[in-house]
Amino acid sequence: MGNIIFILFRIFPILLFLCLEILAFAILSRYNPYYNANITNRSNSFIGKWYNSIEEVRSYFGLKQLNNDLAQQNSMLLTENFLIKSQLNTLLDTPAIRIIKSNITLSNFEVFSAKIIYNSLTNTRNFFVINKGSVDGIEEEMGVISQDGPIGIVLSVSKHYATCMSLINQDANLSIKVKKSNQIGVLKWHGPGVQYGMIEDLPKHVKLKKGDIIETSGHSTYFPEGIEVGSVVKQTLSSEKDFAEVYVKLNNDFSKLKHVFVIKNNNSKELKGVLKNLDSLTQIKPNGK
Amino acid sequence: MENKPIRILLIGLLLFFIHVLFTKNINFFELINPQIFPIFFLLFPRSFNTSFLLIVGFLYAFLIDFFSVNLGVSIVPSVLICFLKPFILKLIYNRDASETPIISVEIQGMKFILRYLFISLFIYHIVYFFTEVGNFYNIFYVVLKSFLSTVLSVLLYGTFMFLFSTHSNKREIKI
Repeated sequence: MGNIIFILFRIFPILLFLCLEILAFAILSRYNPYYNANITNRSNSFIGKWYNSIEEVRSYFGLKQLNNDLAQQNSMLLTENFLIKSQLNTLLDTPAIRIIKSNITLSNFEVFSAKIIYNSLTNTRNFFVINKGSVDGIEEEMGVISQDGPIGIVLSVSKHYATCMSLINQDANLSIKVKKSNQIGVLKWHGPGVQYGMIEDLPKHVKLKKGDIIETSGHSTYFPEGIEVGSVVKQTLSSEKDFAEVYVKLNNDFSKLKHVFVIKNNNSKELKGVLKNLDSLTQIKPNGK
Repeated sequence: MENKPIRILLIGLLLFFIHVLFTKNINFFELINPQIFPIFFLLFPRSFNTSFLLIVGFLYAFLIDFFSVNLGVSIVPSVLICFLKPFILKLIYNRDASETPIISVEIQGMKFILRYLFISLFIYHIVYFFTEVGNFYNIFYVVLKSFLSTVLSVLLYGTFMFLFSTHSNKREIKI
């Protein structure tokens, strides 16, 4: 204790000196107009740099939240986009049938954002799991898209998760059309690469060029019309078959998927009911014969 | 300077008025601006301890600054040389001179005092002008100005002493 007091006594002049100098600079900065401006400028630039670097570091920790927010925003924008597209269609196509059709197929899509938590790529039947389930409004047989195009269909739903069949699954069929000519076909995937799909039922007379855009047809209940799927790489015409084989480079990079959007078709039940009736009608006919 | 409070106070007042009325307004060629008031605490009796001198230096410089535009500019170097005073004295102390608490021409000799004042005032002026300018862009100019101002300050002091203590052996020296 005595030592501490002794040391304090020894360094008291130094402490006093420092205090007085600080006080002097305080007076200088407070009452001297030049210093006032100068110190304010300097401290502004210093504090600006300091906060900037802190913010740069901090923003990294906020990226997750930011991503989620952006995904949410994107889903809202997509919903809006579909709605606007449908309204545009109704404006452009005057025939009454087209109006009804577009109303059914396009205007009733709802979009949820989700995140892929598991994704298989190497099998012939690939699946992925998203972090949204029945609690979040996900149901079976909903379409799943990323920002670059369709990627799969929801197969089964648990409370908080949903398992989806990937587009790179040999059982997957995607109803597509050629953007330029509106020719309809089905896109399949046979592997092994995750980048290419194939259209097998396109008639031979449809000539496609490299780079022609393939988009969803809107004929299925999963996806609205006009979502880009990929572009044509090459078309092979074999004499044995009636149909050409068209290789399509998919827009999606399935190995990099993270944020996805689940599309809900509010009219899908009704539409499926109609299709079922159609099936039963066609089945009755031969039986009736 | 003797160890009598009234005398110290009078010398302080004298230097204060000399500064405020006279040397404050000297600015030859924008290069020579002598500050002689620090002599007050440079020749302050050593019987008072450093902490007391620091406070005296602070208040005195505050008072000086109060009568000039740049409030705070003199306080920084004043407090600094009050703090450095014992170190400077130790550095140049003439071994022959007795370690009396009083610093005066009579005891330590004119040569010693002038040397001591020159070093101290040079430090004072350098810090003062840098503080006044507020940046380090014109280092050569500031150093030159400090040097010339110090020379003039010491000359002023010397002249003053020469005029008022010509018979130094007979009369008591005041400062």
